[in-house]
Amino acid sequence: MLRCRLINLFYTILPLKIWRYFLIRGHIERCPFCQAELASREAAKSLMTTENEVSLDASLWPQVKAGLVSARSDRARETRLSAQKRWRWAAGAAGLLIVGLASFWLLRGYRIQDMANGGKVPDRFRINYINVEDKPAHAYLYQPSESDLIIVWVQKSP
Amino acid sequence: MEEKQLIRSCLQGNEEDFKKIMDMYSPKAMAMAVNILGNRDDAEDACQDAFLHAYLNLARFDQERNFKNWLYSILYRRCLDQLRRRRRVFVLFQKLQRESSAPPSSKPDPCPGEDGLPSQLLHLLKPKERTVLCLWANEGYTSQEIAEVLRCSASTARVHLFQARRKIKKALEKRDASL
Repeated sequence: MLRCRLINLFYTILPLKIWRYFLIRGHIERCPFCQAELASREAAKSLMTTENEVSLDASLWPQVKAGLVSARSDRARETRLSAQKRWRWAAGAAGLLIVGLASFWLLRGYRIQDMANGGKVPDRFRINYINVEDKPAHAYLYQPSESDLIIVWVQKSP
Repeated sequence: MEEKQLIRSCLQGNEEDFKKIMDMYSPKAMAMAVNILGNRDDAEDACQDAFLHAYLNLARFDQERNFKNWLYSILYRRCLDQLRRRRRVFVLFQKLQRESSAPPSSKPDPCPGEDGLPSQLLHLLKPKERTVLCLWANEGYTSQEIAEVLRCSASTARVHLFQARRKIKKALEKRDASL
């Protein structure tokens, strides 16, 4: 009895399933005193509702069948939606591909044109002569680096 | 027709054969659900959900396994879902009760005490313990079979069963002493 009490104490203070299983297998299942502390199958069954006591007012089948119909329509809708989603993704991917290809071709065209010009920027600005008050004047051109801006400075000749 | 043949027939799309399977297992499933939930309406809902889920997932069922255990396993999950739902409703009800000054006319009773319902003593147990005890007492399941339903190890099932039996014994002794 003392051993049973000790086992019971160990069982209570350490709520670990593996430990409790060890105690159950090692002692409780074999000990008649400990077994007497457990409800028998008959006692437990007397508290339960058994299948004979359960009277189904109506078969569950009609409700389950209705559930099946709605589940099927839900599935069909999901399939349709997922197909739509797939098409949307495909269309998006195709659009991106088209944009990518178009960009590639445009950039490629520019690059070919640049190569045809020998990589040099063509002359776009030329001053043949400048007259100030009907007399030839000096002209100075300034172009800041990395800019298309050209400043023309004109000065009367002495 | 044999159970396996019925299952094969259902897999081929014969819904009516599933009705036969349901007729075979409805009373047992209903008894188990009533024992876990303590309430007929919730038990019916759980059974419906379980059968529906079973039919929709029949293709996933391994026919080498026991169909009843598989069905019970689904039913057990559905019962837990019902209990969770009920708990949420109960928490909401308590909140409303606290906020309103008027006394409530009724409150959700987990076990109204109608005929054919399990004893109130079962409510001393946790849902898992109730399930284990029900399978052991009503169905005569071993800890290995219980473990298959609960999807846990046999040792864990054995511990739950031990706990449940001990609690019930104490409760019965207490009840007998008070009589």
